[in-house]
Order: sequence, then C-alpha cells, then structure tokens
Amino acid sequence: MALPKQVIDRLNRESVQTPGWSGQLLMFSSTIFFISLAVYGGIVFGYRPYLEKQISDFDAQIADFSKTIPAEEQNKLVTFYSQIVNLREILRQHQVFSLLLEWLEKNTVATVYYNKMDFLLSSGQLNLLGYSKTVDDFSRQMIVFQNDPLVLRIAINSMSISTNNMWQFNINLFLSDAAINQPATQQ
Amino acid sequence: MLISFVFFVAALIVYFNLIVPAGDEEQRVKAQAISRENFVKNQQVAISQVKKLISSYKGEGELRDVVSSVLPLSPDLAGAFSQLSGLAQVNRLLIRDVTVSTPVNQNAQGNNNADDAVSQPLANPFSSVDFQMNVVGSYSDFKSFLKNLETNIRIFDIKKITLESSGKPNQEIYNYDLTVETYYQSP
Repeated sequence: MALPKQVIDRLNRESVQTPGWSGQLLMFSSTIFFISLAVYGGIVFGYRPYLEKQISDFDAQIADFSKTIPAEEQNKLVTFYSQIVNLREILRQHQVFSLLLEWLEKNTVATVYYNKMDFLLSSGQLNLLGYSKTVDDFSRQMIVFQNDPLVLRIAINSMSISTNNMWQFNINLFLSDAAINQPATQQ
Repeated sequence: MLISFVFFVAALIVYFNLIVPAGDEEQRVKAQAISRENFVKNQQVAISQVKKLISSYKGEGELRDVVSSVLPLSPDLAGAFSQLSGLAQVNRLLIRDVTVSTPVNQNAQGNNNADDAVSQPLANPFSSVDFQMNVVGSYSDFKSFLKNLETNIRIFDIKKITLESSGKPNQEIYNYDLTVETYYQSP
C-alpha cells in the first residue's frame, strides 16, 4: 500500500530540516583557520617590515649623530671640560705653605730659634734644627707643639749643648693631613 | 564534519608552527627597535645639551683664556720659569739654581671619590712638572714670595722645602731649596 501523498511530503520536509551543527562547525573552524593565516600574514608581511624599517631609520639617525657636532668642536669642549674638572681637583689639593710658616712663628717660644727647617709634603714631616737658651725653654717648646692639634707626633732626634752655650736640638714634627692641606683651618 | 576537523587542525598547525615563532621573532625585533629608539632619544637630549654647551663655550672666550692661564694646554715651561723668576725678582730673592723634571702624567679622577669618577668619565688627565729651585734671601722676602707663589694665576704647589741659615751672624739671610709643582692639561 502506497503512502499517502501528505505523509511523503512531510517526510521530505523533515529531511531538509536536519540539525545544522556540522555546517556551523565548518564555518567556525574555517574562520579560525583563516584568522590564524591572516594573523601570521600580518606579522610576517606587515608588522615585522614596519619594525625593521623603524630600526633602519633609527640606525640612519644614529649614523647622522656623529656629523651633527664636528669632531674638532667635540675635542675643544672635552678639553675645556677636562680643564675645569682637573682644576677643581688641583685647587682642592692646593697647598698654602705660607700659613704653615705663620703657624710655626706663632707657636715658637721667644727664646727658641731655628736655623734649619725641612718640610716634605708627601709625608707631612717637618724637621727642625734649632737652638734654645735653656733646657726649660726647649721643654716649653715641646709642650707647645704637643698641645697643638696640628701635630700628630713629635720625635726628638738629638739635643746637646753647643759651642755658644745654647742647647742645640733636632726634632721631627709629624703634621696631620688637614694641617698640611689647609693649615689656616687649624689656627 | 571531516572538513571542519581538517580546518581546525590546520588552524592549530598555523598557530603553533608559524604564529608562535613569528611572534617570538617579532618580540626580538621590537626589543631592538625600542632600545634603538631610547638610544636615539637619549642621544638627541645629549646632543642638544652639547650644542648649548658649545654655544656658551664659544661665548666664553675670556673664561677660556683665564682657565688656560691657570691650567695651560701645554707644559709651557718657559712661561712657568718666567713666572717663578719674576716672582723671585720682585721679592728680592736671588735664584742660584733651577732644575726642571720630566713632565709626569697624573689623573685627577684617581684622586676623586667613586661618585666623582663615575660622573667625570670624559675628562682627560692632567700632567705636572717639578721645578727644583735654590734661592737666597731674607725670611720676610721669602714669605712674601711664597704668598705670591700661592696666589699666582698659574697654580704652583710646594712639595718640598728646606730653609737653612746662610751662616752669616746677625743676618736674616737664608738659603732655600724648593720643589715646586705646576700643572698643565694633557691633550
């Protein structure tokens, strides 16, 4: 017995309305594939050439920098800068030796005098050869030196009575760095 | 369904085999571009500062002359000797002997603290020359000579000094041995 025509039509319609998930899946996966291809193409053919062009532009700028300021001008400026920097250092260490002489004058007992003085900057050592009227005068002189903050240490090398009935002495004063560099600050 | 699967797998292959390596490479190129960009920016700032310095340097001819008088660009031994002998003459000291040592290269940065050394990488070192002098004269004249020497336009530092009585009684005449150091800017 043949099926009625309505039934046959209905069956045909139902087959057309089969679920569309496979088509959607195809659409989805193909979209992902093409997007990934597009991203790769964008990176390789778009962004990377752009970055490489940027790098070459920067390289060209860097190469031009050396031409911006002539080498002669650079040298002159560096020399002037060096002079200023070195001057600051030299002036910082500049010695004012006359102040040390003034300090010695001020700190010498009236009955003591020197006939030889030797000063070596590198060691800060002041060697004095002199005379005092009496041993007491010499002692007072030593106490004056000993009490002065400029003097780190005293060494008495010799002391003896001389032909002119005065006491001849030979001493070493070891002076502090501050005293040697800027004696005025210690006065 | 099969085609969808193939697209999906192809998308994964494109992502892992092409996009990821290309992305890594792009990051490397980008890092290069950024470092060059920063370098260019820093250099541009530095160049503009140097240009300003050069323009101010060109306008400071008098200052340059003064600095070059204090720290000349050459040993200028004749100039230094002329200044020393002039000062001795002005202060009535008799020069008996002068010896000039070989110039010695020094480095101001070596004497600085670490911070200064870092901040002055461009500075060229300076050099020094020693003059050993033997002069004769009165003590007061010698003190005046020292004061003039210490405030002279060209810097002189006393490294060693020996002061000795000339042996003539009742005369304030002394014999002085000096080692004086002066400086110049190394090229």
